[in-house]
Amino acid sequence: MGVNADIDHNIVTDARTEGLLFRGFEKMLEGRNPFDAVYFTQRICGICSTAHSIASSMALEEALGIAVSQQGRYLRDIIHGCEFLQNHIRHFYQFTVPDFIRLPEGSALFETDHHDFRLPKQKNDRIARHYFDSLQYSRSAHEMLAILGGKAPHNHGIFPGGVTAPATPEKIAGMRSLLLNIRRFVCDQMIPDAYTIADYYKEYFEIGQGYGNFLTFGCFNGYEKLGTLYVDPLESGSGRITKLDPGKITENVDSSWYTAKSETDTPYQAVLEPDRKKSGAYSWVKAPRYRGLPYEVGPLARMWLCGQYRHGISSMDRTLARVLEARKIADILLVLLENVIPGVCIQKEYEVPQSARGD
Amino acid sequence: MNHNEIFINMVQDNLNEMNDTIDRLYTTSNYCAKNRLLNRLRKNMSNLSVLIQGLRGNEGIDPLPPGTGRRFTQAELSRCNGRDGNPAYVAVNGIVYDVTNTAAWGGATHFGLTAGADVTSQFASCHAGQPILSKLKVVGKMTE
Amino acid sequence: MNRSNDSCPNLSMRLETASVLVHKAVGAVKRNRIPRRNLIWLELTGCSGNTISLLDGFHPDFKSVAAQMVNILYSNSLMAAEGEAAMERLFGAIGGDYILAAEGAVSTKDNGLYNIIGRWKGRPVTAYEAIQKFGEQAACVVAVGTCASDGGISAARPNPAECVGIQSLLDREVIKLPGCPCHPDWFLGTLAYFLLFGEPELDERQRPLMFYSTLIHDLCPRRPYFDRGIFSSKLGEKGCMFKLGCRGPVTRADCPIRKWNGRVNWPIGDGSPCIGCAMFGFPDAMEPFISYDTT
Repeated sequence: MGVNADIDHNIVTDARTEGLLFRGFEKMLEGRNPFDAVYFTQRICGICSTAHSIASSMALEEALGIAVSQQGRYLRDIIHGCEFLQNHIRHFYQFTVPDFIRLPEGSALFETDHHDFRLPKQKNDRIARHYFDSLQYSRSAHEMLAILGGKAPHNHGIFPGGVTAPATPEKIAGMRSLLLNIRRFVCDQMIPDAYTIADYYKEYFEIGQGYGNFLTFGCFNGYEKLGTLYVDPLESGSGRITKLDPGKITENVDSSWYTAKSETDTPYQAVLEPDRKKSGAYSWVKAPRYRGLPYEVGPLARMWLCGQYRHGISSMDRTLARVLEARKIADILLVLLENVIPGVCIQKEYEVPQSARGD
Repeated sequence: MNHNEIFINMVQDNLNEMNDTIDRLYTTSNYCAKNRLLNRLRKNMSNLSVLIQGLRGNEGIDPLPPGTGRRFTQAELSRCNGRDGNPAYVAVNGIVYDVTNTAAWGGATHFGLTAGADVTSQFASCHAGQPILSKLKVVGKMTE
Repeated sequence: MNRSNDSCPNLSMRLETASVLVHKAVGAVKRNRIPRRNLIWLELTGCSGNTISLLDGFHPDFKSVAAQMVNILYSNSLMAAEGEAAMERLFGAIGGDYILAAEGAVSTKDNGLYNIIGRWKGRPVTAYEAIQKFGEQAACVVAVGTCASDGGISAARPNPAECVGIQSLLDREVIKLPGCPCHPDWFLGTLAYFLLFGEPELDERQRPLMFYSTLIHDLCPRRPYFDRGIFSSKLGEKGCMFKLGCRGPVTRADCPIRKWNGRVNWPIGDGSPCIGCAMFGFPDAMEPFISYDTT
């Protein structure tokens, strides 16, 4: 990943984010057993692999007409929630904190050439300690995931129909215990740390602003009995929040290294061929568009669309939204765990039809 | 590479490794290192005896008495692909084996090969010299 | 949770291999018996799952290794430095002593332009260039994960980015630690062993015998079901998953006893078959992962 910015008089006048790695998963999936996609697509990414197994499972369920039970949904979403927690804790402490906090000397890993460290020593060192403390909590989020999902990264538990193994009272108790510890860390250390950093870097509330075009496919939503615990599929273009219409999503490849018949296709229209020599292109990442416009997704988008965070849109707001979302998801997982019934697990022998389509 | 050449290469590899081990033993005085090297010699000897066993097992001895055993055409073999109630059969060197419950053929597939096929060349390049075929159930022969 | 394997001393000792080795190595560094050597961790054409797996290590854990056992000079995900400053640190290691751990395969298409890992002095640094430059000079090269070991998913048919495992680009021998991801014990144990004793004993596929010598099938708690022909026809059932396509019989790894994420669970324990993720043919030769129509 790279960022190229044109700077004029200390102001960024243009920027290009570059995805610099291509493997071609869409092409690879052609001709394979459809069920293999659940495991295969996880290898797209090691920090968010669960999301891909869920997306694959849901697509297969729609294509094959497989119903997922509510218990299956709860267990699957708990696995997903664990992935979120692991992700957010590592993103904040391992990826974000080193930009603002001076980490201990003695390790080449923590040396950096920038000197804009503003926190007084005591606060700095406290957050630096939390950097190391966080390792056990993000690790235990994955431990929690593995209790239901077999292993992390690249879990085995998520599959069309729900999950492969039922919960047991021991598993539920074990997960609850881990979850309470993680939640305590998030509330007592991670969120205060984020706000502390925000206090000393206030101009980051002005940097990295956005247009307020947010989008989410929904998260922990639409349960029969529990309703929506987080956010429904929504979008917020032109100042109003409305229901998301996935049909309005297109992929633009003007600046991406792909050949295409038209520069804008829906995801179904073609599996594009890579073309590294395409002139004017600078990234492997395609530019998804909603109603022709770039939209923002992620913790800030979800928290904004459900009304839980409206402080602002900036790079610091994105960090705050992420740590607050971690607490939100921990709370949701507690609810889901309360509602899990041990021993319920529905898996079938599934058949693949001649042709089918699923999103 | 044919079966014999593969076999010869494997024997030679083991001999080369044994020579190297013996060279090192002359100069090692450390007790643990010496034991490790002796273990390696033991391993080489075990490899060589497995190769001998394998060679004996593949020595053209017909597992079926003459005039017995079912004959398979190509089409009949390909129906035995291990799916939808059909057994999983494979042919090696003209003999047809049942791998329906052979551990290495999970899902009636093995390293990208599907049951119901002649896997003679793949077997030769991966398993020459190994006592595998003698452990499989013979169900017939391919028609000439 | 299955306890039947705890009574075999061979198996229970194996569980401690990695933590004992790391403990020894950390102690030896502390007492200056061995130097605290440099480690470069390169993320090449892969998903970085091995970095995440490393962070999930528990007895031994990442913290003790990073702070005490080795000096990590470069890790794209974990280092504080960015951009040119990070590249300076990477290229500054040339000529010195370092151990190289590489995860991810290497894209060779278009001279490696399908995977650029950074920019240095104005020109792109490809994974293809980096593995050759840093691999040849390293004191030891460890391929972490199946992609780096044998191509893995990055090289899955039709291999659009023309990926290969790192050994095919290096003349010197590479220690292979396949697994998707590589278990943190396998990496940390091998690293500690190398620091203390030099290269561990490897099998003919360059995998350390201490972690990869046994087939999953031979350690599997469901083996009695296989032996009696009691097979599951769908996921989540108690029987042997051979008919569903389990690759335990052909996969060398110690997952049944070591398990994952602090030993809490593993794929077969979770009611789904082994997909052979630690094998050289993964994924193409291990597919289909799930079959419902096997006889």
